[in-house]
Amino acid sequence: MKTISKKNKKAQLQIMENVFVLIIIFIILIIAFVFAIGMQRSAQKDKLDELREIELIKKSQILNFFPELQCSDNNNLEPDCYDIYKIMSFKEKMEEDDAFLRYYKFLFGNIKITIHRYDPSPNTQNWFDPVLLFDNPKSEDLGIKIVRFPILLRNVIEEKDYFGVIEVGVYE
Amino acid sequence: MRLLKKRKAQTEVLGVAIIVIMLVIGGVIMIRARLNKADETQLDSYEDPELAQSFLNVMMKTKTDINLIVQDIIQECYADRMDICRTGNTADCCDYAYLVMKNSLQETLGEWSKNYQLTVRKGGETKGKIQDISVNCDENSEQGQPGTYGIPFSPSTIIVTLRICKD
Repeated sequence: MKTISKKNKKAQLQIMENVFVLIIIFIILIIAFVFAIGMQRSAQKDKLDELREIELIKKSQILNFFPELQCSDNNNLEPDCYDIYKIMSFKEKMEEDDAFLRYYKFLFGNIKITIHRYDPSPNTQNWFDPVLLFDNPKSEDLGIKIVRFPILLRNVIEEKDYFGVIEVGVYE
Repeated sequence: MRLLKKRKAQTEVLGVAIIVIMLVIGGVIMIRARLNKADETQLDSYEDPELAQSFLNVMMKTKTDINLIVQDIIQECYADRMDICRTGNTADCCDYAYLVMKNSLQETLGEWSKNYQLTVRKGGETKGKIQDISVNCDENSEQGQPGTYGIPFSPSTIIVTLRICKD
């Protein structure tokens, strides 16, 4: 009788041991599963950010082929150079002509273009008032991603080139 | 016999414990690696290679308040012309060129949280006449494609180099 009781207890202990091992393995699997889901979510978010950046790059590329604003000499466009008089004329046309504005809204999408001029001379050293060239925000404000490039701002009448920055923001 | 069975049970539990510890260590290492990984974004790989060269192309052609472009001021510096660049803040053209370039870099790349190094050298100079401008960046730092701009100055060429360094 005693031997049977002992054997029963032994068997119970062994079963308990196996149960504990299974529970631990189960917990480890759950942790691994939760971790994998977390990693997947993070990877999806990174992918979404990457797509947004590619969209920003595509939009900013438009400005590289923009004869309406770029400096030109005998129809040859100069890279990194924008004509001040073309900029002012473009801005005026945007404000006065609805069809003009609609066309560029279609072409650019939801972006914002701002031009800044800076005088780096040691005795002056100041930023001029920025020129908001184009702004087409989305109805919902989800933020804006910005890319900036240095540019030359050319005054063709005075024959002077000034230091400038063009800022392209894509609404998210 | 009993002792042997006890030892067997203990060894089994120890085995499971070792597996758990290894999994935890592996998980921690993976999490740390993921957090430390600083991926270059699409925007960085598009923006940075062009930025240094664009910046130099623009800055060298910028007209200043003494009616000279920066490229010409650098040439005058190497020609030891003192008078034309003498103003309230500057003693000579080398000083003037340094301040113009420093102001431009600070107000643009500096404000955009970029680290950079600008050097001006003629021929085989190890140290230029115009002081180097550097913010958290040197030859040993990880950097993108540098921008270079050549200014003719007989018999050699003055080379202006701008490096934009990664964080």
